[in-house]
Amino acid sequence: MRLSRASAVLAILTLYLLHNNWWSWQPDFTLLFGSIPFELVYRILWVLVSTGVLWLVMRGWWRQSE
Amino acid sequence: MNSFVLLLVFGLYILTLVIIGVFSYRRGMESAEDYFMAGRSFGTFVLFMSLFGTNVTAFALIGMPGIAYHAGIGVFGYFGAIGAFVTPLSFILIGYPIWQLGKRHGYLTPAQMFGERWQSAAVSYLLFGLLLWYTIPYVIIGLMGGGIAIEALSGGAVPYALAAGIVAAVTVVYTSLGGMRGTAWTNVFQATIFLAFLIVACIGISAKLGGIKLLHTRLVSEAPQLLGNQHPRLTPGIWATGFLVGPASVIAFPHMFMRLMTARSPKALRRTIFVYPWGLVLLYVPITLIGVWGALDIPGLIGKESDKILPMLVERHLPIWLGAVGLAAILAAVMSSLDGQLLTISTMIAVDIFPHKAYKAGPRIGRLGVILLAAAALMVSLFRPAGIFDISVYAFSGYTLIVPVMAFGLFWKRSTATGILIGSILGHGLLAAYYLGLKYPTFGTFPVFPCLIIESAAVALGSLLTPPPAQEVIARFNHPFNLPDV
Repeated sequence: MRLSRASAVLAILTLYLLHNNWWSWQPDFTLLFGSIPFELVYRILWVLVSTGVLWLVMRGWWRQSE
Repeated sequence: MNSFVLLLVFGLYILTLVIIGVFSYRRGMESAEDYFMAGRSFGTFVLFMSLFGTNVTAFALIGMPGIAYHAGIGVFGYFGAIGAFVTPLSFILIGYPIWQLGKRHGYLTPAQMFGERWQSAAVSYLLFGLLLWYTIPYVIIGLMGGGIAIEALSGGAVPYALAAGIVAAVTVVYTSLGGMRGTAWTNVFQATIFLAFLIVACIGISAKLGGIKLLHTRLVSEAPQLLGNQHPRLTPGIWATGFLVGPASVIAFPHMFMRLMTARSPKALRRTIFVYPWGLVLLYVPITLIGVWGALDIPGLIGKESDKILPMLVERHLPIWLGAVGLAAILAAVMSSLDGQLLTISTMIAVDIFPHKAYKAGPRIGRLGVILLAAAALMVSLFRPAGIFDISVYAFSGYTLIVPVMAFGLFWKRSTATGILIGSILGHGLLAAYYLGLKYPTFGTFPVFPCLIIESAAVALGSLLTPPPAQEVIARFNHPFNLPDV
């Protein structure tokens, strides 16, 4: 799978919007698996998705020189 | 803390650094390329640990838990998560072309590379001056941080001046001996220490406090505000532009810029970029949790008192020897950045000021530079200049303004030296004016945000109003992503 330049920009903007989730900054009392705060899980999942985007961006933009 | 255990761990730590420095000196060759760039030979492991160790400062181990103590788990998103994306992204977009150009043309410093990009000595000297201006306070802060940490954690047994002197002397020994190779391998050792310490401390403290499940159930009932973001200064505008001051400016740190150019191959660089976000997660998750748990275990700390929450929890719940390792970890974070900064500034002085001598006498000039700089920084740090810690936000913002210069140089063929000079002077001038008291409207964002827009617009306008660069210059800096293999 390769990202076009427009898709890469769109993916980065979407990640940026998801980072700015100031509407849900109020404490969420949910503990996932009974012990992990929701906010922490949300951020780690965000990093996981962003790593995927980094991989796709790199695959698309570095291909001509490798 | 038991002074024998402290001295033993501290001594072992310093001895290891010196041994690595001597070993690197024996292995290295007396050439500028080898001393300043380690022959551009680093594979994934050394490259990652070297970049990571250089990037992480004592703030992560001292300041961050203190902030999480008051503000809650939400700060992980602001300091950790966004950095885990933006910094590697800048490595992909800007770091990779820089690596290619460095490998192809033998560049050693940012001023050298971008001075040639626009065939302009003025651009080269401007970049040199700006990078020096923003980096030197960090060297002083690093020495002060090391001195304060040792004095505090040794219970005053090692006074501040002696502690700062020891940090400076040891860093000078292994940096001047080993050059880039020496500092990279010491960074491997140092990053291993502070990362391993944090993970062990996190597991140990949570076990002593009843386990993660109990701790977080207590959090819901006793301090639910810490489950979100409660930092009064993290408003939506600051949150939205926070990535500019820190994560996005990392690529413009001269010590990071130069380390990126030491990659052996695109494969090493690519793998490093994929590991990088998870290194930051491994660092910032324990740091955040320790800060928040500290609020449950030792409530009531006011303001900066919470900066000591990590050492307080370690002393209260973990064995003495681990406390001593904790001190070594803080020193590791201090020195792993300090060595990179010292080496980088000495490289810049050798290459950008004495370009004709740098390639012949580079290592000698570099060593002399490291010693003189460290001595000067130590002298200043002994006076503990007030307000120097406030300079850090200004310096980070200044680095941020150098990122567009790099981007214009790499991606906009039409950009000209005049445009870059006008834009840089306007942007950096406005930023300095803000911190000197001219409080222009920032619309709830970081002060650097308006400067960034004005700088970029001025570069664009100035470039379009001046004749385009010569074709052969543009060809030399051909669109980086289209460059063939090097």
